Amino acid sequence: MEKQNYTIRSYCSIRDRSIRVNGNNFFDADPSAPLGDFLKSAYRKLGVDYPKFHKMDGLCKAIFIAAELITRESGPYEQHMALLFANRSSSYLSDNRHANDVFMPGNPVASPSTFVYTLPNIAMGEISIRHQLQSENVFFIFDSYLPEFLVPYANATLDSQRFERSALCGWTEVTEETCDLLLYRIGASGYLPHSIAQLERLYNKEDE
Amino acid sequence: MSELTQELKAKIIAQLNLEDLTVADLDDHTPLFGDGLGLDSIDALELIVMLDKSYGIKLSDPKEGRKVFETIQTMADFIEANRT
Repeated sequence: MEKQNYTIRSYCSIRDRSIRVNGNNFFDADPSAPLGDFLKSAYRKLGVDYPKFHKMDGLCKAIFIAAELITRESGPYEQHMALLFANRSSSYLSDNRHANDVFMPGNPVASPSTFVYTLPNIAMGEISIRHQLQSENVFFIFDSYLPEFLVPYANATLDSQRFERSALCGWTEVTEETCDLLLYRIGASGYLPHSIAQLERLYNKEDE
Repeated sequence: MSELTQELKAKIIAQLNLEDLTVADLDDHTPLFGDGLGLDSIDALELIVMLDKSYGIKLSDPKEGRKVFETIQTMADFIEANRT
């Protein structure tokens, strides 16, 4: 297995009703704005025509927006790019909504469109459809942002040479009203080191 | 019948989160699937649930659904003939 040094080509953060790409502001909203309205406004600002966005749950919407901005900054995604995501709450938003449907007295049938989002890796499926990716993916559930795990895991994945030495990775925690997301694209031709220390800095916005 | 088609359009837009459409954008005879509204298989399931919840109609034969969900008008015709 040939080991390489990988670099970060582009990154996007969504937190506190603010979206930043490579450290530059893309969209800000009032911190008290409902998360759903904030994500919808960001989608409108993207200027893409993708009606399926409106059917997605909050987790998918946030990841969709970040993935869209990263490819704009760093070029089209490689078809066999690996997807390595993690969060704390999995797909709890949709799970909870579906459970409420199922257990609601007098409700004959739960909503199929809620049910389809009751797995976190559906979000990776959504961006794979959008960007025509045919890669493998994995979604980890951790207590907190954990670059100590993701960096060596991503390096080993790319060293295996099955994924065009390219990956989209990150932390994607979305709850009813909060979004804590850092997505980053790694490969051979980036401008920041793909290291634990660098990812700590990006997450804490120390480079901005 | 016109009242029912209008009601159906509003329900479909709300139920399927067709954010960019209004009732006025939907024609009674526009195909719901394929080149028309471009609905997908999950939307089809959602329409089946809507028939059950809103009109008390259970669709048990999937083949029947293909005809029923062709357009707003075919849905309205089916509801008129079967609602409880």
